[in-house]
Amino acid sequence: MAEEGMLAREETARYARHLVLPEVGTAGQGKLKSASVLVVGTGGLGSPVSLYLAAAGVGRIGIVDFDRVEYSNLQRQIIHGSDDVGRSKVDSAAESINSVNPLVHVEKHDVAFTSENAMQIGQNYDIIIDGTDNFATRYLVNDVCVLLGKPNCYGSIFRFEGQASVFGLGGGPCYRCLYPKPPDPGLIPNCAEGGVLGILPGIVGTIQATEAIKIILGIGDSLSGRLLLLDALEMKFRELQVSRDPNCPVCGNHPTIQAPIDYNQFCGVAKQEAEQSPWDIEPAELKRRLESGENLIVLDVREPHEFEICNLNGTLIPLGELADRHGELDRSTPIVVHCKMGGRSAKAVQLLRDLGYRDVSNLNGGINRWSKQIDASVPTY
Amino acid sequence: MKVIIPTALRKHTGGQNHVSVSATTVQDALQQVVATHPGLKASLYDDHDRLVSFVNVFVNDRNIRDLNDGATELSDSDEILLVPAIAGG
Repeated sequence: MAEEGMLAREETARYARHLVLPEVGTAGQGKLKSASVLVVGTGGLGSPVSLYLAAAGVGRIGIVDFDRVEYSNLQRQIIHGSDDVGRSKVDSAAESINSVNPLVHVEKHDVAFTSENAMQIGQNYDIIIDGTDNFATRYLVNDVCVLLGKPNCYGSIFRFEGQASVFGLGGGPCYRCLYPKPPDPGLIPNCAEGGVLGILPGIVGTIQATEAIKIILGIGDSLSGRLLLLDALEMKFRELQVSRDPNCPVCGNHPTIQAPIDYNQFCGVAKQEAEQSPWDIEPAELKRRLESGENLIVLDVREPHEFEICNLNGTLIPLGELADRHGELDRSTPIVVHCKMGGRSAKAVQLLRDLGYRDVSNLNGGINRWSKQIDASVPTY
Repeated sequence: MKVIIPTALRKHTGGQNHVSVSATTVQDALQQVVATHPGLKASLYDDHDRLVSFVNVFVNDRNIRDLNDGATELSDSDEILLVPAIAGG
């Protein structure tokens, strides 16, 4: 057994193409072997990140995810395979990582990354990689990185667009310097709602992994202070300057955030099945009203491509068009609005009520909860 | 000059990836964009008509917060980018 940082014969063969690079060499490969990286999320971004870090010989890789593999993941989450559907993502990912490189030590964290555990988990790693899929966890990862003094290799994706940067490195800016506050829930759709080109996280994730490896090796120019934008349709990369904000509440000159906060509250995220609108109705109530033969408009405010996947035979007017097209609705008929999960429909209910519609309700949990509780033949996505 | 519209906001511009304007300041440029595409207003401005903090406005590669905010002067060759926070992963 070689000493820490020293390379055994098997490793010399495996990392030969690194060893001949003067910028890496035996010393650099030893640094990779001694390094530890935490990958938060084993989804679209976490997949290529973890696989490439493993292949490169990063000695210890932590993976955090509480989720299970679903069929809808496989279009982009290449660390998981068809046989893994239903398994815990960290189990599936750990197996793939060790298949690529059994010399890597994988630490599985089969939990949600939360304000309660994030500092404890994060402190054991040199670098943290943000492969999460929601604003609340992104702000958590950012704050934990700044508080622990660890670099955050950041990437995010939407449809055909990606962003990548490095935050919290040396005196560089953090995510909050760029985006002090998140958008209201529902304003910017997530991948589940808006869709994403499956290859896109492959491009952005490998950029994140590249930045992590450069930091470990101490080579090249980091993306710290720069935001890389990718438009895959135009295949255009743009590079923007990002400055540290001296008034940033976490990395500024007089920080007010000294421990993780309540990020769901900060991002305005309601707990699952909590109230989404003051005019929520339960799926069971909608079922009862439909079966009673009540004259009722079921208004679907999702996008046409979502309607094609599954629908409740409702009237389709996407949320973004509702302000212009609400005249198509009969004001005297009660309306129940639904979307996929209840967020967009809650906004639609408010919009219609503001426009003077009196009997408008929100189907709490959307068509996905309807499928779970009322009619399993309606596919979820 | 072009104002580049990101994917997340293109539903308000009928799918167009940019809007052409003729303006001397960033504020003028954005007002022209919102005048021709009113649906963008709610994504760019808060209730007090201030730019929302989850959309950054860049002139070429510089954030207007590091320049002169809305008063940042423009020349014909400048490109204005709207860069909203995205969270997918």
